[in-house]
Amino acid sequence: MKLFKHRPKEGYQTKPSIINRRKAILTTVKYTFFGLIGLRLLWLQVFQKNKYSVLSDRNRFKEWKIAAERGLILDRFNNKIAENRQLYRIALIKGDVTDLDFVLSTLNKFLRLDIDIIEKTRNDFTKLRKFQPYVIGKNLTWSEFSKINSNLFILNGVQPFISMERHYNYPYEFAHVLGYVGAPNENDLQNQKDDLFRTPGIKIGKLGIEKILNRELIGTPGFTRFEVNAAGRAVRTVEFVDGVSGNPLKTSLDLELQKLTYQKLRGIAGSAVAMDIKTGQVLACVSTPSFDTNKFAFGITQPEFNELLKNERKPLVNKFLSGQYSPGSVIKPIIALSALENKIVDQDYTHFCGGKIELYGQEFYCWKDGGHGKVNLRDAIKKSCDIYIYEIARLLGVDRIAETIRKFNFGQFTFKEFDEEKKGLVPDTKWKKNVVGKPWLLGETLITGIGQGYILATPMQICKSMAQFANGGYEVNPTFYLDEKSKLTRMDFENENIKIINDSLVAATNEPGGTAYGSRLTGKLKFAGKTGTSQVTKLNIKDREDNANPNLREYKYRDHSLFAGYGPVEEPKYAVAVVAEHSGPGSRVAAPIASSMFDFLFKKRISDA
Amino acid sequence: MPEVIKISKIFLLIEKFQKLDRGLIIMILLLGFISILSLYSIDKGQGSIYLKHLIRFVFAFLILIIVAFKHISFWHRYAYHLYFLILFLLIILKFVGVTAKGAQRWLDFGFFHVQPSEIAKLAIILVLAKFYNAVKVENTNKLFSLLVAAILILIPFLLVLRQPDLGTAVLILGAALGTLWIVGLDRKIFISGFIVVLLCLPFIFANLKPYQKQRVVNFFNTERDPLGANYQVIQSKIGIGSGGIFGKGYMKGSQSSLDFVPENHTDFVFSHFSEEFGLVGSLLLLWLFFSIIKKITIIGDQSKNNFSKIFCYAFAFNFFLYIAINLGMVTGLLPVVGVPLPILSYGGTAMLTNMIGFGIVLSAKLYNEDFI
Repeated sequence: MKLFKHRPKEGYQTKPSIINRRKAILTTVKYTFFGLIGLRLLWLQVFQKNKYSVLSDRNRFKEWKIAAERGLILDRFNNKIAENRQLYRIALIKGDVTDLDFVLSTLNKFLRLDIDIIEKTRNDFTKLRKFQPYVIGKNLTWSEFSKINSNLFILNGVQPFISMERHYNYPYEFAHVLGYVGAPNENDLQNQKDDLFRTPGIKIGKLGIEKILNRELIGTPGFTRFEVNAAGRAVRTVEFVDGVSGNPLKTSLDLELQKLTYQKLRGIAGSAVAMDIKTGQVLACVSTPSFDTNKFAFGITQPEFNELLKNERKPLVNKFLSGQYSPGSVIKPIIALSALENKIVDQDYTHFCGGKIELYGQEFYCWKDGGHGKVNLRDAIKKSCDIYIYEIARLLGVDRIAETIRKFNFGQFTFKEFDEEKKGLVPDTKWKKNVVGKPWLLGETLITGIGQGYILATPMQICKSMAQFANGGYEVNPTFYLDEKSKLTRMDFENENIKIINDSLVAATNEPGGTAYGSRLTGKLKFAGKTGTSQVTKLNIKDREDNANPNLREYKYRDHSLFAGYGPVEEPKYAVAVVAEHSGPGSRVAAPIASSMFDFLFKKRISDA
Repeated sequence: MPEVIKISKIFLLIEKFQKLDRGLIIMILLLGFISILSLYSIDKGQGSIYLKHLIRFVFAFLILIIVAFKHISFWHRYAYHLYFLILFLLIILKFVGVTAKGAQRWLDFGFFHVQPSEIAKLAIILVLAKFYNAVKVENTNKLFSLLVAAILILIPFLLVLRQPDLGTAVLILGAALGTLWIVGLDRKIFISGFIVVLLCLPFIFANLKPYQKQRVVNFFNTERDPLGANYQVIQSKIGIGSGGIFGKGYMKGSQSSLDFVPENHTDFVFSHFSEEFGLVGSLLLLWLFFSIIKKITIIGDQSKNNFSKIFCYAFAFNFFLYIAINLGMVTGLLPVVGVPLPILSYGGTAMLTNMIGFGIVLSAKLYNEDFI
């Protein structure tokens, strides 16, 4: 039976002839396929060669970056304030660890690891790629390190190593200005265009100067290039390139002064700034209470961090840049200058202070019960007479006051690069209308005159304003770096008027009856300055009566104690601002601290030099 | 007189040697040489794989000579015996086979492992050649002969498919279909068979093993899952592509030596060769393969008997099929099926099968004037 009908054939077909014809067709198929393979090889090996070469090398070589040593941070006399120390640490190599539980329990025997660390290691370990090293979060002592080293034969996959890690020699003193380093988090990594931050074990600046100058300090990582096999195991080292350590950074800070200032501010929540009035170089800037930056550099534990966050004295806040305070009486020299500049009064103008006045249906008090009697402008600043200032403020009006205050750069950032810095606030009629949405009250002008009410300033701004009085009316821009000097630009004030104010500032500290007289220096070199006591809350009559002993009040309602001054009087060189939160009158806490800072500067930095 | 016989036998042997197809033998030796070089290079001169392969090659080559000297009618006579022996081996494999990579493919004979499915390819060609040699031209497309052929093909095919070994099963089917084509089976049968397979394709796909499905899916989407099932092909392409025109140089290929290419000694050996010798080397190797196929075809042409013709053409096609599927696979033109590159790939039975095949071809040449 035929399954398919045969086509009529031309002639008789022999078996060999059929076989031959079929073979010929197969041969064509073979030619075609071989041609196809040839073309495919041409495509892969000629036209796509570059692509595959790159892929092959990427397969073949792995670079393991090694973080460079971070640049040292020095004070102005080349004392090391941040350096790097050898740390003894251990890493686990995932692919080599055969039994994680055994390794951890054995390590625990030698090192007595925290449960947190063990749990963290166990968790992180599962996320690792093969042969990726994982650094255990604990520093080893030399004896622990050598113990591990001599027991390596039982610890599969454990790799002891020595690394250079940031160490702060004065972790509390410089905490806020230097900041600290830490491992980059996801956010840091995402903001980064290159893969520098992906260097294993790298630490980056998280705050302060460490953050601002991170790029300069971090250096260039070195790397080892390995040939690796498909499993990721290094087969041989192809290349080793040393990293370049970061440049040492010379700051303008003065270690001894910083230490002294921190010492004086201990136990107080506050801050102090000292700067060179001509170069703007900051010599000391302390914020208290402080925290241990070395702990941060190494990864602070959550409970410790929570404690810092909860502390009502706010150790984490950089008070000299982001603390905004009512400046209180330290603003008075600027109000007086404004009056002189606007020719409202001259230096001989007198006003009677009876302890209180009634204006706009409100009572305004002088800080001194019973008043100062008849005062002129010099006395008003020397004795910090509120009634006199109320009067000139009333005559000036808030907009003229604000204009003068703004010329001292209040209400503006002093630095550009500190994320945490605050601007402060200089109120005027326009501001209140726009922001608060209410018209300006005349009484508020008086309050602004004595640095209360809406006006806010940072200690850095206060120090800068005092420096600008001290250098004779030039704008100076603070800096933290020794190789930077501020440009001095003349502020448009009458030289004569600046002199009048400076004279009254000298009187306030060095003449009997001056508010800071008790803190004066009795040596050859003297300093000038203005105290300030800024109220945190509106006082009622009873509070006024209690004023003599403010410590009776609840901590958070106590007055801030301020002082701003400069010295030496004869040839001014330094400006200092001190703010002690909730510590009472400026003359009692802030002025003595400033006094000891000047004392140090005069004795150690002028007389000895 | 016995001396005369002895001497005449020796003369006969010498004569046989002289009549052997030297071209084909040289090309086979060249392939063997390239194979040893490549395997040596993959392991950077370490390990013993290249040595084992060398020993196997020498052993297989001796068998080739013995086979070549046997009269072609010997293979004709014992074709069915061999076929049923292989069937028997494939069946007992189910019970005593060595399991590797999830498939029972090997029989353990103590000092060497034999993969009966490899020899099945040769057996199916022989048996079909013998069968169609006997069938008259006008009966080629008769239902009876078709049924016999179908049974002859399907039994070993299904046995191998159940191991499971898709690659070898496909090759058995390919070799058988090639033979049917050569003996002049009507094109309509092929076409209708092709249509039937096409219609059954969804059903076949549904019955594939998960890993087999994966391979088919991956073939149509090569950039998918680069670390998983497609890893082999991607790494193989990287090896080949990075070789460029002149290659990275002998012993300088990194892809296989650093184990990026899996199965680098067996199925993906070409990838390493191509990485080190580049386009030039690869094309030369292609030319060598092609010349061998051409040579076998020519030997077929010169044979006076149809059994030799059918066998030579079918074996040439089978040899081509190996190369085509293997090279198509390593260059990413075809899905990954475990098909070795003849002679070059490390593996004993495939080498032995091919060498026996070459031996029969040489025998066909040696006795091309004879009828069966």
